Amino acid sequence: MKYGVIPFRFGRAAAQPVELKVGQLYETVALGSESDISTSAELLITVPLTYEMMSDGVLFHRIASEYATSWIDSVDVVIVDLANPDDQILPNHHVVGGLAQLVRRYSKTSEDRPRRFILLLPTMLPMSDATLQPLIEYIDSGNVALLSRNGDRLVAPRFGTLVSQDDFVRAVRDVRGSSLDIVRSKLIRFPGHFRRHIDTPHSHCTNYFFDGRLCQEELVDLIDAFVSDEHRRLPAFQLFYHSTMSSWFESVVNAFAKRSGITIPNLEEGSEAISFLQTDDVLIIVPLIDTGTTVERITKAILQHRSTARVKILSMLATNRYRGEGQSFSLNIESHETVVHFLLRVAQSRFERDQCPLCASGVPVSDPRAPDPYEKLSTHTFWTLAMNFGFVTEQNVPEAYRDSVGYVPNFKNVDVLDGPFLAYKINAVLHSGGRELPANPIVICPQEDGASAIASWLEIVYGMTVIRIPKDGLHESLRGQGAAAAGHSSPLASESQWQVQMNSLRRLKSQANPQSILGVPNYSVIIFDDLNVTGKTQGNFIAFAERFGLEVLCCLSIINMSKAAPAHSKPVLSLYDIRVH
Amino acid sequence: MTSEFTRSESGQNPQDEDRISACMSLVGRIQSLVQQSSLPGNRDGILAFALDDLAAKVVPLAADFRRHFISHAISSIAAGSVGPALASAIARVKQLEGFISATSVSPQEGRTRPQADVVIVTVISVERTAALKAFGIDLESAERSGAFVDVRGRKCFAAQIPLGERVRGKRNLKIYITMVGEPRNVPCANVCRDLMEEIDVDLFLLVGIGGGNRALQINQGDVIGASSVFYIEGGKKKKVPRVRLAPAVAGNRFMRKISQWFGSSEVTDPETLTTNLIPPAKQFYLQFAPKRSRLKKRFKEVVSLYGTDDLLPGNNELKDDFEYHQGHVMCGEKVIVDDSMAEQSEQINRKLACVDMESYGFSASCAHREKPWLVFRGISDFADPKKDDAKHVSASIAAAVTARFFLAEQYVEREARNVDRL
Repeated sequence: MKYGVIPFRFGRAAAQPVELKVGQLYETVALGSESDISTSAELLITVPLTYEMMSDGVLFHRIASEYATSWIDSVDVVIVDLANPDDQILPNHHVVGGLAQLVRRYSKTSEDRPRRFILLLPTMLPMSDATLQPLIEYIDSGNVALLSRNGDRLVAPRFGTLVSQDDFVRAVRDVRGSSLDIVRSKLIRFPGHFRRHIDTPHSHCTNYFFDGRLCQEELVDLIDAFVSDEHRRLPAFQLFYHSTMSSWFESVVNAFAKRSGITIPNLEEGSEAISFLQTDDVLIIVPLIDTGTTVERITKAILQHRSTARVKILSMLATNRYRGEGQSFSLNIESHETVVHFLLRVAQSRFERDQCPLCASGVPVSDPRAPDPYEKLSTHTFWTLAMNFGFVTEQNVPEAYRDSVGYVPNFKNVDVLDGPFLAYKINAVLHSGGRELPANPIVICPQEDGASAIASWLEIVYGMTVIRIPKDGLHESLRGQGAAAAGHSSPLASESQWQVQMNSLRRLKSQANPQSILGVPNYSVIIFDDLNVTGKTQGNFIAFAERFGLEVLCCLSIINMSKAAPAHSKPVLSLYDIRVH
Repeated sequence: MTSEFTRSESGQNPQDEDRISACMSLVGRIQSLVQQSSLPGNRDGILAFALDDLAAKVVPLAADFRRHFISHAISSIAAGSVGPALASAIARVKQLEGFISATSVSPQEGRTRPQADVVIVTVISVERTAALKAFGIDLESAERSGAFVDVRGRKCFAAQIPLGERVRGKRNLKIYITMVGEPRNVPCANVCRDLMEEIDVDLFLLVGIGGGNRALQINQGDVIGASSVFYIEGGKKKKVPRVRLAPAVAGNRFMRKISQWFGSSEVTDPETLTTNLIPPAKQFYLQFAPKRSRLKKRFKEVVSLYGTDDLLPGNNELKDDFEYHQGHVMCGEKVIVDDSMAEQSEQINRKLACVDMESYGFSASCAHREKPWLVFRGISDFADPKKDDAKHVSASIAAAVTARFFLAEQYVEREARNVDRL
């Protein structure tokens, strides 16, 4: 027996081949639901749906049918992926209505057996949800089963075997990564010059500020898991938090408090929160622990108020000051052992007062509440990143129209430490000046190490669609040659990923219904590169995009070295300027 | 999907990096690169890239500033061996410097003056040391790393007050600290003029020491914020007979001969010139009332930064508990040690709190260009025969600490000001 997959991707503009691990997830679902599943029906290319398209049920049904029509009659199980690996976007009633039509049309196999549809959702919809109503009869009849990321399911006994919760959750985790993996990949490390504990004997400077604004949901999940675990161990304990300058952390705590339906007071200096202390067991949540000064001060204040208190700390981050294995350590405070648990260890340099090289160099002090006040990269920030990446002789020099610029930062080396910050900064610059980005941003960049490595962080952090164009593909296209130039209406097995993506954009643009509620999807693209020296490469990519009927929103580079005005009329943005050419 | 914008949580609009700060940061980076034993890449290649970066940044600056940064960068590099790529970069940058030297600065050049919120002027080195330390700058490190700009041969050290320390305002404050180097009004006025021509400054502060008027219950170590400055050296000097004749006998020739026989004496009709505070400095000044406990705490922190070399030879009495007063400053050209402050205040103004030798030149120079100004003087003596240097350091620190609190608590940068609301 065979299974087929319709891998929808909400909020994405271009199709692309399904990743291997996602394919393995589908196989897990299929195998868990039918013992003699053999092969999948079709080469898997994703089905992108822009937000505008999601509001058109007829369009949705048409797209789904067109995708499945060549193979659906040959399969017994159809997996419909509505769970979107990157984002938590719930299907709306238009989508569900379109699906119901699909199920009605293909509810029986050629042997007159019920064809089974397994819908993968980000979270489970309750039976009473109006959105679900078009599918209720098919759930009851055993045609449809709903499965959410955490393993919850809505299925009638008539459906038969469905993949186990454990197997499915494990497979989802393999695809998405754990919450901790996501935090690790989205934690922003702001370079700067930060003074801590000003006006105290512990005053010192640090070179980074860690900010979890992009992974708040995951941090809330992790706190939730920890607190739930604590509840199993302790009959009663009180929660507090302490934060003076990490507004991202306050948002996390507030979100957790809202989810749990409790109030969590802030033990900041001068507050009356400590007067709410009523139990001996206390859990304090803090954003980061480095010297332990703050934790020591809070613990002493608590012990002063209640000498029998047993204080435990949960810190989102701990610096590399605290060595050893595991995710916890102990501090001895006033002869009390205070256990500190942390989620993630981070590396940070620390300079005592009078020995700070940043102070000596006159690097302006950064404000943690606004760690990124500049529109572009400051000199200090740029050079911090450049030294982290290292330098290399410029690769992929377009010798047709210029010489090499010599040594440049090796952007290929952008890693999990600096990637999220660079992605954040690129996103900020793209939005600067009141510029409105499409809801489904598409980035086109050269298939070169530096640009590609940075663009991958835009995919990871913001879920942007990135299309990497190889040099020969670009030139063939500009000359009107190659398979891509022909504009096939459906993907061919021989097409490379960029061709699949570009052709799907061309196809989807023609399908977009101008009468739909939210209007025509915006398929404008952003041309991205690590270096802009003469502007000629940007011009070539603009021409390339326009051949596919796409409008270019702007051109962005990490470093702009061009003094001259560009030959094209598109806005030229950059993170750093060294205009010498 | 999270959409993040550059507007910070504090409501700051994204700003452009200050060019001077950028150049300072880059020169410091170049020095650091030269000193590092291993670099993540080819040393010459990285330095060449850094020089190109500096060259791009200095172009819009005034000639003095360009020359300063370029020469600092090149002197750091030139010590070691230099490969072809780096030699080319140095040559390119030197060409830029040479072009600047060969041409005269003209109004048509269209150069951009760097901007600063505040320039703090000190007169003598003990005052400058206190000001630098109060603003977190180590003189030796700053000189070594080139964290200063050269304004017509005078070093101006860059400082700032971060937004997090400010009560009002929306961003970090950009400040320069400099020293006149010699006493009296004319040199101070000349320096202020130079600074105004080279830097676009919003507010000038004169911070240092002065003599106090004990008749106003002012103690040594206290700080005076000047509400106005009285310059006392003006006047008309004339001769008058020692014996004056009554009008009834003034016409008598014999009586006139007797009067002439007794001779004449010199008297001076005094003429006091006054400079008053102008907005918005006046409004900031009137609202300023720092807490004594905070001044004391900060004084102690600054003192902890002092090494033996920073103190004056001999006795250095440090008084951390001091008060801030508003009062008038009397300014002349002479060092006064005759205990005449009380008498002067009776004649000129009963609220004369302090005497110095620079505040008139300073304030008049600022007023001439309609630049807001303020004077903070730490009282080191009472302008009497007991005057010595024992309290110079203490009074300097007190004045500098007070000036910093003033900027952190009261000053609002020009683009954030709404004059009607002050």
